[in-house]
Parts: sequence; C-alpha cells; structure tokens
Amino acid sequence: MKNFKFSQRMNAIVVIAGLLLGLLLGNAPLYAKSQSDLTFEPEDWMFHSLVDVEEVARHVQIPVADDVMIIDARPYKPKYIKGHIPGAVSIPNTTFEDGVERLPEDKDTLLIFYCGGLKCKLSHKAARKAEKLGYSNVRVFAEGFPRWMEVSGHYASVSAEYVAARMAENDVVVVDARPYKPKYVKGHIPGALSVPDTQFDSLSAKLPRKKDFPLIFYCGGLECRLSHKSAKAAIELGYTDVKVFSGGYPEWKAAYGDDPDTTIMVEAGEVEGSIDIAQFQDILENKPESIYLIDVRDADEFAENSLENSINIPVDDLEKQVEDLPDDKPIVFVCPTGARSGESFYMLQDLRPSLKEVYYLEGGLVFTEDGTYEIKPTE
Amino acid sequence: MARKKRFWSVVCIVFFVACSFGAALAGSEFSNDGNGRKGKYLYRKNCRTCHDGSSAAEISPNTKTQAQWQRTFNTYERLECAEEWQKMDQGDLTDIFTYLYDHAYDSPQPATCG
Ligand code: HEC
Repeated sequence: MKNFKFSQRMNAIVVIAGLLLGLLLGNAPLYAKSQSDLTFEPEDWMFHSLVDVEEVARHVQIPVADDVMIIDARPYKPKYIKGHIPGAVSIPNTTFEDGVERLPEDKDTLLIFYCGGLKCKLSHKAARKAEKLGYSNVRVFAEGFPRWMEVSGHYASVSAEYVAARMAENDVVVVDARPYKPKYVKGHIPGALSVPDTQFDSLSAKLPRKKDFPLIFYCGGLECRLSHKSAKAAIELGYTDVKVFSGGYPEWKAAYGDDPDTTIMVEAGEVEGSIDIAQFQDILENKPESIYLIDVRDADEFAENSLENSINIPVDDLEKQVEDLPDDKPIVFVCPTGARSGESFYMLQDLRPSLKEVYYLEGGLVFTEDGTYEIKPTE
Repeated sequence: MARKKRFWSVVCIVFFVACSFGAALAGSEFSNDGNGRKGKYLYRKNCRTCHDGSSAAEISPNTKTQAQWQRTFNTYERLECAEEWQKMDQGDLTDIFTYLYDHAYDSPQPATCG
C-alpha cells in the first residue's frame, strides 16, 4: 500500500518531467530556426539563444511591455547615457550584481541583452548570469547597438546627463513634445523648444534649418509616446541626428530638480512685448535670478543706482551685442519710461527674432533718493 | 422765392463736396495712433543712420512741435531724403510719426532720445 502510493507519486513525477522535457525540446527547434536566420556565424563563446534586429524591434514599444526587458550590458557611462535602444534598461555586466534588482520579478519575462556588437562579450556574459538567477527566457542581440542604429528610421535614446552636457555646450536643440499648455508652461528643461507633437506639422518650422543639426526630443517620461512620434516625424523630414530622451521631464526633474527659477514663464502684459507688471514685481522680489534683467539706460545713469541682478547695456550699445545675448532665460528690458526698453524689445524682434522670450517693462522703473525703486505704469 | 431755395441748395451741395474733399485730405494725414515704442526703434534703424549729425542734421522728437511734425510728414515728398521714406511702408512711417509726435517739443513728454 505504502509502496504503491510511492510508485504512483513516482509515476506522476516522471510524467511531469517528461512533459516539461517535451515542452523544452518542442521549443528548441524554434530557437534554432530564429538562429538560422542570423546573418552572421555565431561564435563558440556566444550565448545559446540569439536574436536579430527585427526581433528586437518588435519588442521596442513605448511604453515597454511588462513581459519584455531589453537590457544594455555596456558601461552606464559613457555608453548607455550617450545612446541606447529606446526603452532599454542599463545593467552593465561589470556591475551586474548591483543591477539585479532592476531585473523583473517574473522569471519568465523575456530578457534581451545587447552590447556593442559582434565582438562584444558583455551581453553574452550578462545573459548567462541572468540564466543562473533562474530566468528562463533569455536572449542576446549579438549584433548589438551598432546594428540597431544601422536600420533606417531607428534612433537612440539618451539619458539626462547627456542632455545636460550637450545643453551646456549649446550645440543641440532640445525639443519638448508635450502640449504647450499646461505641460510646457508649468515646467520644462531650461532652454527647450516647445514643439508639441500634436502640432508637429505646423510648428516643425521652429526646428533648425540645417538637417544635420542635433535634435533631442523628450516628453513626459517612459510611458509617453509623444517624443518618439515626433522623433520619427523629424527623421522623415530629413533630420539625420535625432535622439530621444526617453526618461523625459520626470527623469530631468529627478536629476536636476524642476528649478522653477530657470523655468519661469513670463506673463505678457497688455501692450505688445511688455511683461505683466505684477509678475515683474514678484520676480524682482522673489526670484530675480530667473530672468536676465537688462537695464538699457546710459552707463552714468546706471552707475548712480541700479537694481541688484541687473546688467547694463545702454540701448545705443545693444545692437552690437544682440548676437551675444543668452537664450536660456527670459530677457526683460527696463528703463525709466518704457521708451528705451520698448525700443530694445523691437530691436531684438527685428535683429534676433529667434529669441522668443524677450519682454520690456511698459512704464518706468524709477529710483528714489534712498535707493529704493518704484514701478510707474504708463498713464 | 423758388430761386432763393435753389441757390441755397447749391450752396449746400458745394459746401458738402468741399467738406468731404477736406475730410479725404485729412484722411491722408499721419496720425499718432501707431506704435511709438516700435517707432523709436524704426527711427533708429531708418532715420538716425543719417540724422545723427554726420551726414544729415541731428534730429530728435523735440526739435519740432507737434504741428511741425505733422506738416513735415504730410509733405515729406519735398524733403531731400524722400527716397528713404518711400522705402518704408505706411505702417512703419506711422509708428515713427507717433514716436516723434508724442515726444515733440510741445508734447506732454518732450524727449531728446530717452
Ligand atoms: C540716407 C540718409 C538719410 C536718411 C536715411 C534719412 N534722411 Fe532725412 N535728410 C537727409 C538729408 C541729407 C537731409 C537734408 C539735409 C539736412 O537736413 O541735414 C534730410 C532732411 C530731413 C528733414 C528736413 C530737415 C529738418 O530738420 O526739418 C527731415 C525732417 C528728415 N530728413 C527726416 C527724416 C526721417 C524722419 C527719416 C526716416 C524716416 C529720414 N529723414 C531718413 C538724409 C537722410
């Protein structure tokens, strides 16, 4: 009785094991098939299950599906941040143990590792480590990142550090693909251009004329498709250096804060080009460093008294300096009546129309004897 | 009696025609409803290039009264630099006029350059 029971259980185990084996063997030809499609001869040291770029592309979707994870096994700096397959997670092989927590909980999730191409062993090594952890569905995209970029229409994603570095060099146009209101207005990467994806066709004229000028699109983070759609549209327009900052504004905020001071939206006053006086007063008192305050009076007037944080460029000298004016913060011109500051505003409209965030104080900034100031609206 | 009536009607018609003609003339006058802020810049760009005392007399808003500016603009064809004016469109000239007129010698805020 006891024995019988035991052998029955034994039988059950054998059957289950057999089924499992059959399942595995049954799947094996499938792997082999996709392997045989590969355009290169796998080396001995390579991982047993390889996929090609079409297979990877099928899994690159925004937002990334729950049952797939594409993993970049190259070093985080400088490789990953400079360009990776959109949606890929960074788990460098060299620090694999630290990255384990980024792997999905579900061991059946399809994991696709890649690195720098056919000579690169990092992805193969990392894939083996993942398998050892119990992941049952592991592949390597052996041709890796170089192959990804070869396919026309493909682009790379970049990280916040890269965006910040390029912006510091001022050799890139960063495009915010989210709606202008309320998203962009509420906060954006300082210096980013607003070209909402929904208005891409009508606003793409704001993009640089040179088609090889670097562009980086971003929107509301990993779940957001807008930047990817815009990037594709830009590539279709002929732009050759297009990237997407997939982490988008949430990642930017996490890395650099939302820094309301540098993302200030100046409210226009009633008169063309003028700044709203109440807002101007608020800026002066609470966040003067959020704007470039340019006092266009003559040097001798400026020497007598001036606002903290203001720079003096007499209107007669402005024309020579128009090209040097910075574009990372709104510019506000002030003078005692609005005459010279208004003139400065129109000068910029005429000579540097690409600068959009330019305002002047309609009405005067008048200093009193004791060094305080008063803002006098125009009668 | 009837004759007198006809006389007055003729007078009326003549008067009416004269009036509308005058109004039409007045309509071609410059008025100061342009954008004086912009006019100040346009003046710098289009006029001060010469009128800074180098190749032509230095001019600023307060070198003339409002009436003088009005006359100057209404008859600018007579100026030596009329050609320069013709390069500009009416809107820009109106802005320049507004700037000069609003800060003329007898204006509430006469101005040299500020
Ligand atoms: C290419 C140079 C040039 C430009 C540009 C120019 N002018 Fe002149 N203008 C002259 C010269 C030369 C005279 C005659 C000499 C003089 O008055 O100095 C003159 C005469 C005048 C006069 C008559 C002189 C007087 O004092 O009444 C007026 C008014 C005037 N210009 C206004 C203007 C205005 C307004 C503009 C811009 C819309 C303008 N000019 C643009 C060269 C120029």
